[in-house]
Amino acid sequence: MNTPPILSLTDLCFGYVPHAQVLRGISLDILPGTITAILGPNGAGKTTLLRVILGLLTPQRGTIRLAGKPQKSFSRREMSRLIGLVPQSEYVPFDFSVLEFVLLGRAPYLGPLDMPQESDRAIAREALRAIGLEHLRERVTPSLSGGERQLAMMARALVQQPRLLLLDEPTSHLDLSNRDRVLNVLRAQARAGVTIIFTTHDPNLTATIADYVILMRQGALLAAGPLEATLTAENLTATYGIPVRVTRVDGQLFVVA
Amino acid sequence: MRVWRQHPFAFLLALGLLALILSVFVGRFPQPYWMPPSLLQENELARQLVFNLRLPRLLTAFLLGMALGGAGAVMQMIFRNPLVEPGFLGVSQGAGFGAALAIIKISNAPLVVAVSAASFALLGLVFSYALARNLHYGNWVLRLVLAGIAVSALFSSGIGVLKYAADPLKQLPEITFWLLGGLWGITWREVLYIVPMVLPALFILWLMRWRLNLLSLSDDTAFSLGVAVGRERALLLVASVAATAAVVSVAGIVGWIGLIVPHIARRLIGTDAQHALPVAMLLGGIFALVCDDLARTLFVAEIPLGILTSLFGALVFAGLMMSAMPRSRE
Amino acid sequence: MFTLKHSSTLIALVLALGALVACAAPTAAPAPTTVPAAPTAAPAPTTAPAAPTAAPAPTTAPAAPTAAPAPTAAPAAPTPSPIAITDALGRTVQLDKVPQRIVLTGRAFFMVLDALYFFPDAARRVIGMPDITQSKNDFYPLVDTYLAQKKFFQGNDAGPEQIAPTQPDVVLMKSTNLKIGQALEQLKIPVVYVDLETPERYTRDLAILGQVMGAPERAKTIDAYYKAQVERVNAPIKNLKETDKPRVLLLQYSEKGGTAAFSVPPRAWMQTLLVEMAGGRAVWKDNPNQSGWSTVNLEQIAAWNPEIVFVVFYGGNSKDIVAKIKADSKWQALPAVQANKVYAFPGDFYTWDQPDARWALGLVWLATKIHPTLFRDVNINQEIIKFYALYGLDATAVQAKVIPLLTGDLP
Repeated sequence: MNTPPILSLTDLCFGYVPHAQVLRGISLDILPGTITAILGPNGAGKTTLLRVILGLLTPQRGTIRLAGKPQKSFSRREMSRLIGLVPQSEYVPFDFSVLEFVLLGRAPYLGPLDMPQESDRAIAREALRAIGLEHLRERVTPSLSGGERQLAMMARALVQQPRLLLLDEPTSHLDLSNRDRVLNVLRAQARAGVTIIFTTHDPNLTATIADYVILMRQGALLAAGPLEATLTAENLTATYGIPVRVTRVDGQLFVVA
Repeated sequence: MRVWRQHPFAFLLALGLLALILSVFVGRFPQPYWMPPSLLQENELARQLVFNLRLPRLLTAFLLGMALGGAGAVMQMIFRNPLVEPGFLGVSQGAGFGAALAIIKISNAPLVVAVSAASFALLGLVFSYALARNLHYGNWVLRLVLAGIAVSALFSSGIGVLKYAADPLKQLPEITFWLLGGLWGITWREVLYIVPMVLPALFILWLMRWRLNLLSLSDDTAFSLGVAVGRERALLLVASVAATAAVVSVAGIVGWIGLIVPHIARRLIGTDAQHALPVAMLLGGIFALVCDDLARTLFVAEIPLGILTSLFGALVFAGLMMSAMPRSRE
Repeated sequence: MFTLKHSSTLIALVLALGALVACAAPTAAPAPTTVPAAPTAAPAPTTAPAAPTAAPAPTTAPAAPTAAPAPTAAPAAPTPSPIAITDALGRTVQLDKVPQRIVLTGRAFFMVLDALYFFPDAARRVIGMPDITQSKNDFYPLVDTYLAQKKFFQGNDAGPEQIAPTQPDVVLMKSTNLKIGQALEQLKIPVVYVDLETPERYTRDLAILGQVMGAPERAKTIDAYYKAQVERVNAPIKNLKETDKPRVLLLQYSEKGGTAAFSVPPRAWMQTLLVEMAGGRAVWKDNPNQSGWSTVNLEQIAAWNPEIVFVVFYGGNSKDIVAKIKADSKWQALPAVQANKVYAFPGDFYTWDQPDARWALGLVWLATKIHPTLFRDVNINQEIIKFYALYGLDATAVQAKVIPLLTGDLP
């Protein structure tokens, strides 16, 4: 594989307060078009890692390279076209309609004084169709269920047309059918060349969709690598601190605690 | 109301122009309420009154409403809180303090009072920002809101001290009247003072009307969408406060427009600031204009504008809130 | 979201209620409560105008009317006998004796003081007053040689804390200062209220002051002066028809909050009464606001179309204001301005429009402006001298100390 990694972290260290390190020396390379899961218990630093990658937080030590160039060399505009974030939850106190909400994802392609055009609106509607929310496009966001809201946030990220999509606990509120739909969308995006990184604490979700797995515990990398090789009983036991078994069901890995 | 649905902005613009034109003929001369337009041709006094008294006052009222409605809409989205109003970052109370200080210590001259009011209004924003930076808990919104409350309270007690020290026969009634708001003294001169500050500020707000939506999202999300959160927010805030300070300095403290009109606008046209902001500006202008028409026409004596805006604003607000909440917009 | 909207409704309703309450609240100075009757055309004793001028001229500069002419019970220490005074609010106040230590306080106390100074012994007996008025430096030294011995309180609402240490026999104040009075009475300090807001109340309240000073005859003398002035003005005009009385507008100019504002007084106030007594028709009488000065805009002024306009200015010389008005193009279209009938209300230490002792001067002056042909014989300077004679000042003192201070449209 000679394609350069789309994301390359070297010895990344970060702490919100100087003496409490949340990320300790993280180094990893992510290849384009892959789906990577960051797995770990609550408080492992997964969300923080996403925020550092996004550029929201500045690490105290270490480097971040995106598509071969240092993160700092990108303007904010370029970053927003490169990376999209689907947060775990979001509180919006205003009654945007779903369509308006999703349309906000077109911001990276609009100047500070521009208004969205019809082409932007078409892209937004297409994303809603892909996600399966088209019938709700005139509903106001506070009236959506938790799962529908997550789907809307994802649609917004899709409309951003990023090359790297970061998702924080993407399926935590979703029922089985919606979860299935999301996973299909993610797979389609990966096939189209978008790199997916998502955090989760659910090993079975990882097993379902991820190509690569990163295991984190207390800010440090425990293991990283392809799914089959990394999602092992010892690694998982070391990560979670409780005995874990890995079996196969219908050819797919299945983790039992 | 198909015209309304399809071209809401144009409809409101037309309504605003109509209100302005009608207001030219409303007043207490030559008899209460209505002046026949033909009088303008015949009567020199009528011409003087309309061109030198009514016209600047109408325009100022409209600008006042536009500034407060627009600034209110901006602030509510930036602070993600539908209950804030333009003056809350120490701006209104700062303006009141500046005016009281000028009246007591410096001079009564209109220009001095207006400049003092505007300066202290902007100072209120600066203090709120500075204080917020030194608070160490809560997110950015919470910090600025707390700082705004503190600075407002400080200025407000300052006003109290100045009122106490004021000459009860001469200065105190002036301060009290200023704090209730009113446009009786407006001439073309005041219009000339505020237009250079209000129109550019409103223009900036209008240009960034879609961007405002992004700023109402969480900081992380806005950042990830490429928004220079701190800078754009600061620009919008400064523009809003500048417009507010300018109108408050000539009209006194007129409350409730900045709080209620954005709500009404959002109810009518939806949350998307691309539409809600211009509608809020126009609605604010019309509302302020109508209230001022009443203030100067209803009775022999002038009614302080702030009283009417509170009264009607609160009634409209309550009525709107009690009507059915739309769950979807169709 | 639901709680947010419900609390919005609640807040909205509370604020609407607050706005309504604020609407009802009075804006400016408190109003006299009772409705005034029409000015009485009291048959004045013809000897009255003569009496004040019989006051002997005091000798040296700050005129001290201690060598008093008035037939008061001036000789020291009469056998103290208790007196009962019915004050302006109808209360009966029991005092052990004629008060020797009098304190004044409250809003507009200077109006009471100016009436009290008519009584020759007042300067000695008044031992305390608020420090607020500017006239402490101008007017009082002319009539009061005991200023150095007086206690000056902070703030014109000086209450029991400042007053009690002076051990007064009685505290005088205008009847709008009830709160202070009630506080004083808690400490068993007697309080007598006077009103002095209208000509009839002047008669009644001068009598009250006469009782307080133990000099009822002097009170009658002073009252006779006022009645004479009223009759003097009333006699030539009492048979005039309504249509012979010009439409008059009286405006107070103030720079409210940095912008020029003109306001009109309530119809029950002295200003309105003076205009009507002087034979004018007060155009602002239908104003519903009766609690204080109300701002009117130029449109309303133009709609009233007054024939004569009087401008009062408490913050300086009203002549300057009138000059500004005449130079303002908006005002120049007004018929009264074109007929050059805009006049600056005069004053000396105080303007003559207020319910201060000088209202009689204001009345006479108004008459000369409203009906100039009927009052051609009036000499304002003589009137001023006649007035200040009541304080025991002679013509030279008045020429030297008062005439130079005159403001307004005076010849």
